[in-house]
Amino acid sequence: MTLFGACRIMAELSIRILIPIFEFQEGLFPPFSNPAGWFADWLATDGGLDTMAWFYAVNIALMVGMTNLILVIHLERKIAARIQDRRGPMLSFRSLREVGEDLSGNAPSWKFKENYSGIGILQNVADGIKAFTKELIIPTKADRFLFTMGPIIFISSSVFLLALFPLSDRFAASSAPAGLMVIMAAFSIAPIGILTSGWASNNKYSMIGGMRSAAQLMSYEIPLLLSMAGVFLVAGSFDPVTIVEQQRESTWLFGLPMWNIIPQFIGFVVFMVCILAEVERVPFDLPEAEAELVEGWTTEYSGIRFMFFLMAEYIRGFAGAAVATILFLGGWAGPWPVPPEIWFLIKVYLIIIFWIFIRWSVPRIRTDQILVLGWKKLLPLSLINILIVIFMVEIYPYFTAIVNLPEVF
Amino acid sequence: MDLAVLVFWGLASLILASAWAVVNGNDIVHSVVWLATVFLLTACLFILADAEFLAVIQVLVYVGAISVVIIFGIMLTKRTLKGGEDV
Repeated sequence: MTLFGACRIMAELSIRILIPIFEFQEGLFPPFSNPAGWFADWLATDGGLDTMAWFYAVNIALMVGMTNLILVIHLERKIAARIQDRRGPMLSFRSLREVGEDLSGNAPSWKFKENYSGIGILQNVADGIKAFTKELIIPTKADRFLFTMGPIIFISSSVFLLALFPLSDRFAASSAPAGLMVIMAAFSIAPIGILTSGWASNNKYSMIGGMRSAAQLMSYEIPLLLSMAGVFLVAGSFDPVTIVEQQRESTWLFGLPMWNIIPQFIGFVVFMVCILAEVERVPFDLPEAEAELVEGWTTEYSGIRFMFFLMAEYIRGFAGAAVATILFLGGWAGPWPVPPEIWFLIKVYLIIIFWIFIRWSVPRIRTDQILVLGWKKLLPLSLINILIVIFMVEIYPYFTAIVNLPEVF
Repeated sequence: MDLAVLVFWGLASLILASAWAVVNGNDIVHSVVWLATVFLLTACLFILADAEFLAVIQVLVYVGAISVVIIFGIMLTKRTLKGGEDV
């Protein structure tokens, strides 16, 4: 059963409950016409049912994405702590009892259990409460309209990403034939939000951060799309399901699966570097370099807006890792006993853990280096990758039809 | 009236309103943001016309590249910080 099928059943059930409610409301004030009845009529049609089902599917995708987001943030904290030889956040639900004793009037004793080591999941709750209760400051000299529009553009385009990538061929909220291009389009809206919020802050550092960010995102989008083009050529489609099916069916030596990472290793490297720059993680985080630019374009934002910026960045990271998994690591393909969704998440989390390791072990690179790397190194490499793919897909089969050649690809 | 026609007229009036805001804005950066809105809404029109791929390319090229280049160009020109001296 697909996610959408399950959502359809849920929608049917909820419509069965909703229609009597609306019909009851229609009859409440007899002399006046009431839109409630009209709404009930619309719910009973096919369109109403589909709309309800989409509503459920998108909400489920959003919830799955948000849960993963919390896990990614938590993972980042814990792994960062371990790399720095700390333990990281340790307050979890198991420690609530001790805290409660402190709060209930007893003498505060900051002692936990002898062998206490929680997983630290309460740190996320504490962070959320902190962000919600902080004041939202808009600088007096800032441009109020763009100062509020910038976060809206950036965050909405990032949260939109959550509904776009499938976790498996059955767990997908959207099934557009141009799926991966839609994801890249959603990725490419963000620079406008970054630039406008950096400009509207009316602060030198924010503006420099915004301009660095725009230069970086624009120059890295070209090798990114070119390295994706190789995969699109092999699969002949933009659809994530088709791309993963193609990777699952093609085999290599000894019947091992030939995921796209093997024939297109250059493309994989280029893609990983570019997506790292696209989601602005270390070592490509110079738009928000803490030491030089005091958090760059997010300097003037406080409270929940800053938290949402952070959240949107992690969503972009998660979506980037998901795209890398679909394109190069075989998506949800994997041996049988583990369900495909779990395989997909395992691969995504491996990429994210790799990124976290990079974050805490590599220094930030300079602006001139970033542009040299983008235009002089990654662009030619991605073109070479496309040449290899064209040889593989077009030229070699053409000659095998004429001369007798061993079947390699 | 058909729902698609209703959506079309809604989108068309929104496009015209944002286009008006592009021309009549006081601040050039505001104008560019409204221009990006025009491009996005045009992409919505393409989706309404069942031209999904065209909509995606519209967003990628016009919103993701052209508007950003325009904003970038504006920001590279000389400007003053509000209430401050020249940058």
